[in-house]
Amino acid sequence: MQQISAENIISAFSACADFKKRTVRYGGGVCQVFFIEGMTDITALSRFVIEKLRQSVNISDAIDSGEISFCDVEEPDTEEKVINGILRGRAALLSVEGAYLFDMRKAEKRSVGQPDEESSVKASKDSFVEDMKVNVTLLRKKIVSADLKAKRLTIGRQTHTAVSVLYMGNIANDKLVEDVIRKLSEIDVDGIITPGVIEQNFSKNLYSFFPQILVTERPDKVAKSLLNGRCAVIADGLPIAYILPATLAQFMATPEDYSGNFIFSSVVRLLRYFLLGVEVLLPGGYVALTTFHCEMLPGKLALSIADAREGVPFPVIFEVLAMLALFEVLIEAGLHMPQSSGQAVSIVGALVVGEAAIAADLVSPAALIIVAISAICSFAMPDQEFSNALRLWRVIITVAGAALGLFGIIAGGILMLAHLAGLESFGVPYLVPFAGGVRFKIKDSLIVVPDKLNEMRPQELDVKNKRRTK
Amino acid sequence: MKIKKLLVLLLIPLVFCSCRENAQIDEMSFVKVIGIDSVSSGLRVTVGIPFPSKNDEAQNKKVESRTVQCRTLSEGMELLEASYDKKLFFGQVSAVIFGEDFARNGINDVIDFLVRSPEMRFDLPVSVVKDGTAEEIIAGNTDTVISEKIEGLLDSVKATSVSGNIKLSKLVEMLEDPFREIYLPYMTYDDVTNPEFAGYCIFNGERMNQFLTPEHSLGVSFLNNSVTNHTYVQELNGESVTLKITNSKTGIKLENGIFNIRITAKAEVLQAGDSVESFNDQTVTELCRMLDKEISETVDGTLNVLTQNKCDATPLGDCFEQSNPKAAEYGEWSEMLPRIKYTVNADTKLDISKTVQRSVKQKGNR
Repeated sequence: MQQISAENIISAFSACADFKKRTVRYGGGVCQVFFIEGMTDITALSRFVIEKLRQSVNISDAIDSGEISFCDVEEPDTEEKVINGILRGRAALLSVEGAYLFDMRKAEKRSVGQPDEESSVKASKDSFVEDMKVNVTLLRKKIVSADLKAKRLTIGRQTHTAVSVLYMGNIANDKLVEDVIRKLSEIDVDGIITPGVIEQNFSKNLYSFFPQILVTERPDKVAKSLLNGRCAVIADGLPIAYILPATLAQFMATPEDYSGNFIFSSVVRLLRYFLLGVEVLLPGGYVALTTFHCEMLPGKLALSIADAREGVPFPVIFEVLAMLALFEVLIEAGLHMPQSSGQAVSIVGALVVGEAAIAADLVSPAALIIVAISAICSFAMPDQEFSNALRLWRVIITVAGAALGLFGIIAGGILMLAHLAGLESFGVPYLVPFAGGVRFKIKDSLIVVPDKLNEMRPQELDVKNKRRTK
Repeated sequence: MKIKKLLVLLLIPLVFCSCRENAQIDEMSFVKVIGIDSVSSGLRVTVGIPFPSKNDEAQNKKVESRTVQCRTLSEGMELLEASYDKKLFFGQVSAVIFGEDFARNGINDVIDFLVRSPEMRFDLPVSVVKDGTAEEIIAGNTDTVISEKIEGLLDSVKATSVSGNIKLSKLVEMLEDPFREIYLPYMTYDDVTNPEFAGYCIFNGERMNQFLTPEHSLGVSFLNNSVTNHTYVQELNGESVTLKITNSKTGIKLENGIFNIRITAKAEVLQAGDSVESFNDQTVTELCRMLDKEISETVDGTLNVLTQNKCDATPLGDCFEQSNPKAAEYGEWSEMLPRIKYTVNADTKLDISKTVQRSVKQKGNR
């Protein structure tokens, strides 16, 4: 066992004003208590550890006999473990008898609230918070089973962030679990402060716009994925969970789909796929048709568009790209403005875009309608990251349409599909079950079916227990 | 490497794309209708172009017509293009009108140009003006888009007979078929703003031969395809009964040198007097017999006109060609036409269900 020196620990925390040292006399001698102010509950430390200690002769006896029984106690064998313990809010006690870490952490945490980004009407209303333990507890409340395994790792050279890998031991493929743990272990960064760190390390193709890992703030979504045989990763300090592996079909599903009538949900989901196409292709299609293929427009529509563009000094492509850019600017401004001013951005945006720009003949109403429809479609996408990727592809396809007409649109569409077909998330093709070597399964991809009609777990995950029912 | 291959694959189709100048939609003027007439020096081409609604002149008239004289249609197009500040776009043309003189002089060259034009659509309806010029029709209808008027008229023709609306593609097919002559719908007018379709005109080769009467035009419709809406008024027991043909089908067989033409039709009663309201089997049989006779006479009269004029605007020639592998060796089909033998039989089924229900209800009310 390594000799743990109080001097070394004090030296490690030199120039840390919030690092505190207390000397305590007890029956058997003198010991030193170290902790970080603000992270450790000092009242509890004084009352349940120091007070009890003063009355004791031997520290280990006091712990064993239950005199000091208020909290978990660890006996670290290295200085590094002691330092890590202190950094996590534990109180370290060093005496001639040895070193002890008392879990006296003061919990400053947000209470579980409603999801901000993924709201629903009938599905559960809880969402993850920044505390990993609370998040794991939320899942344990939904899956009351010892088969829900939670392996814990520490990531970040400086931050030492605790990360949990959750999976159903009797369902998930072992190789997938091993892969997830291996990838997490390979993460070599200073710290996990933002969600992007884990996302980037899990993404096979870093240069893709599309998210290759599903991020959610909803415990019910994670629970459903775990029951399907997927893995989840929860990092301390992040109010989200990562679901692995991710496929396109998952990005098009919402928990609400499983909360109501399955026929209605199926129609809505099909509509969502249609809207995906509209979002990506509509602005490009408009540019291509009005610039190259006017003969394809119905006569009255062509005249109406030509009428509307009368007096507009810019080409259609410039008009559409400018409107798309303005739309992005409005979204960005709305995100960064204080909530009280957010409304003002919308009003100014609507006035500037909707009224003044048309009145000044800077844009035509037709282009505005096209961009607005496309924008509304992008809001219908359940996942923000996925929607962002589609918005970027929309610009590429619009430019292709302006350069090459319908050929450009088709080429852009093929390029996007080829790119999607090339993506993988932990060995699972992104376009599963529409492509990727598994049998096309319409259930739970294009349409929603009741659980009793959807007996099999996803084929692509190669789970241990393939049937949901007996 | 994969990306390079993909890019190459995507760029290959570019080789097959014909590049043409693109233009902004507002920099184009959409030609909605083209009219072609004959003049001594060649052709007179008239186009109808809708005004943009923001244009001041649009307050007074909706369409601008412009006419040029030229030797060929392509030259006419170029002259028109040169006279406009905007690019003339022919992809939105929705009607082509031929003047009577032009149709009589031959339409081949113009059809050839229209078909070759990269902008022109193949589903353009083509029609002829009787006793007038295409220019008069287009220039006389500036308060409305004449093509829309013609489209509306052609829709009513189409509602009468499936074969009524002749598109450019169909016209080309007929031009290329040695066993079939062209027929086109023609319009007449007393008031130029109110033209109406009167029937079909038939061609000998590329030149128009004659205008058929409405009755003979109906016969052409019966022979070519389904008549979907035509009313006959018959006299029964001293009272008028209005019958409507709702559908018809024609089968032609060449047996022992005789064309057996069999027309099966469905009809319903539109209006009938009190004495014939209680339809019994005898009444129905009698009405069907009357309709059969009417249809047979119509078709027979039409065939008589067509064969005498050596214009086969019916599927008889196709039937002859299919029945005789060496049909081409017999010589010109048009020369054989006056000598062909044919029989016409009609078989009509009368639907009386609606009429009987109405009759019972009326009796109940009494």
